[in-house]
Amino acid sequence: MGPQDVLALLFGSSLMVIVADKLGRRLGAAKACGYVTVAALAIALLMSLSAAPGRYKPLPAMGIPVAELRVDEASRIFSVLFASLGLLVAIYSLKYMEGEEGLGAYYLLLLLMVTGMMGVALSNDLFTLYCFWELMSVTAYALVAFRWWHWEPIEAGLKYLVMSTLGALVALYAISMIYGVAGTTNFDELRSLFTTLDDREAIRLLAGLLLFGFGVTAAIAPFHTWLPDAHPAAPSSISAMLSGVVIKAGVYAIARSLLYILPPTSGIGYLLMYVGLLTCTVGNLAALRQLDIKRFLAYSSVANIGYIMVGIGAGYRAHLLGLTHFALAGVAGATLHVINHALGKGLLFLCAGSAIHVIRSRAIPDLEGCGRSMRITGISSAIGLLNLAGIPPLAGFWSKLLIAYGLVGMLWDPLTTAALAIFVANAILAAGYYIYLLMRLYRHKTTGASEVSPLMWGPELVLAAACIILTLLLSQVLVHVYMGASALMGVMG
Amino acid sequence: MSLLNAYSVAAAALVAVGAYCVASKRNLIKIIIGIEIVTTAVNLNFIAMGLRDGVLDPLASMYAAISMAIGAAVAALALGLVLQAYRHYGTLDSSKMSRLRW
Repeated sequence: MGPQDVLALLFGSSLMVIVADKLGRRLGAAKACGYVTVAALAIALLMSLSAAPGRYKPLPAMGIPVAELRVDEASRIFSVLFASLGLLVAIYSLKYMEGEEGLGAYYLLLLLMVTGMMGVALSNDLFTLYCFWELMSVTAYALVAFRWWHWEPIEAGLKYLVMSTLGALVALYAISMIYGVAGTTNFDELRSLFTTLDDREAIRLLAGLLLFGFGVTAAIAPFHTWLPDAHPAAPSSISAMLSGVVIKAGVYAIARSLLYILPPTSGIGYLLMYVGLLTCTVGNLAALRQLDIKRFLAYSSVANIGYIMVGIGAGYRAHLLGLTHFALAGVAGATLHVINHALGKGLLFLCAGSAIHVIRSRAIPDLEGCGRSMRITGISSAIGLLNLAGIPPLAGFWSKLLIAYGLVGMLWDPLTTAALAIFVANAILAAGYYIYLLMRLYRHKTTGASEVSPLMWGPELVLAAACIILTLLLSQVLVHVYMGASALMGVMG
Repeated sequence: MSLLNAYSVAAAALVAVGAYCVASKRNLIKIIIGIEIVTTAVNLNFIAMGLRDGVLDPLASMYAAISMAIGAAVAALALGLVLQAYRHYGTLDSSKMSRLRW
């Protein structure tokens, strides 16, 4: 079974969602489209777990030389992450979105968004990647503006659309120039062509355009401003998807195009590293002053994208200097942090969604004490917060340590030493405010909140368990993450 | 291989025009027109890049055609959102829609 089967299944079941919606409404089963979505995502998850590594050409008979797909260790990690978070969010939505207008459209868009993300992770061709990228983005804009009868989602959705579309177009402009230089957009052909190209200025320009193009969706500073608006405006389940995986698709596109396709060039490593540091500093400082829980979590997502970019930058620079050991550590740390943050932030947004669902307020002072009255949500969010804070036994600590270790190999360079210092300071600051939020959630205060339905706390508990399992099986996870990093960079580990 | 032909220069100029339009205009419709100009410029750039010795690579025209379809989808969604924004605010001025800040 190849990746084309996964994508065909997802496209096919999006048609089934429409049918199920029409039939279900006639038969009085409004949730039928939700069950179809859950089933499709569960099968897609199993299929993407079992896809064999290799290159796949799903359209050879039609004589179309593009649309090549690939499965390697990195794209498998990302696609499994996308499918599993999509599945949990779909289960959560069964209860969370109950009784809302336009459920059929909601599940259709959710399924297509996951399809787009899977396509981004599985494509082996820049233009195919762009097509799936737009599928993911367009559905994400529509989902942010899903509750269109309020002003907030419309304004946030428009802001997201304008910024992210411009970013995607900048990336497409870079892709068109790559096509002009190389005459192809296939990853492997580009990789071998570009190693013989001596024009470093052109590569630097292309890398910069791709970084900023994909970086808008990945929410790197200074293009992160759509994210803290879009997350509170969207339904909480969609915030979990956006923060958990959509911005990770941006990270994947950046890592794949800069680390795999373009050869390492001096300067870009510093750019990645310092853009990452700017992103995490901005995110952490802005998170400090938020009173809205979803804006707080959104800014902390910006900060976490910063850590991931620092890891990729460290890997890029170490690779350029020939320090393969440290390069792999940096990129592997970034990949592990992608997994950690997807699980942890997805979990926290689902928990925040449950609490908001019960308390009907997004203000942190109103949510104080709900960790005590909503036991399962409280414990799950505590695990998520501790994981993201990087408290030592949990996996969130080891991913930050690996990223820092990737920087350690270049400590003779004062700019890298400064980067390491800023990185560590940010990690400590973030740990501080996560613990502070946890203490507020467990403050003694009667809220009158009661636990939500099992369909809502179930996915939370699964994600919390996943954070712990990730920690317990860290040695096996690290093997896969290192394999993913070497696949992403195209080097042998 | 000459990548710098009249078409690619025109495409680069159009990208600049579109980006300026998005950055400087306040009317939401004009911002969307700016996005559309950039989309068109990128499509033109694909054609410019596909020209080899006066012969157009069919791959380039395929890329441009698919990109046009995607651009149309984005434009449709954008105009739908602008319509809703107009219903909420009674204006198309983006500077009046700044309730979301910090």
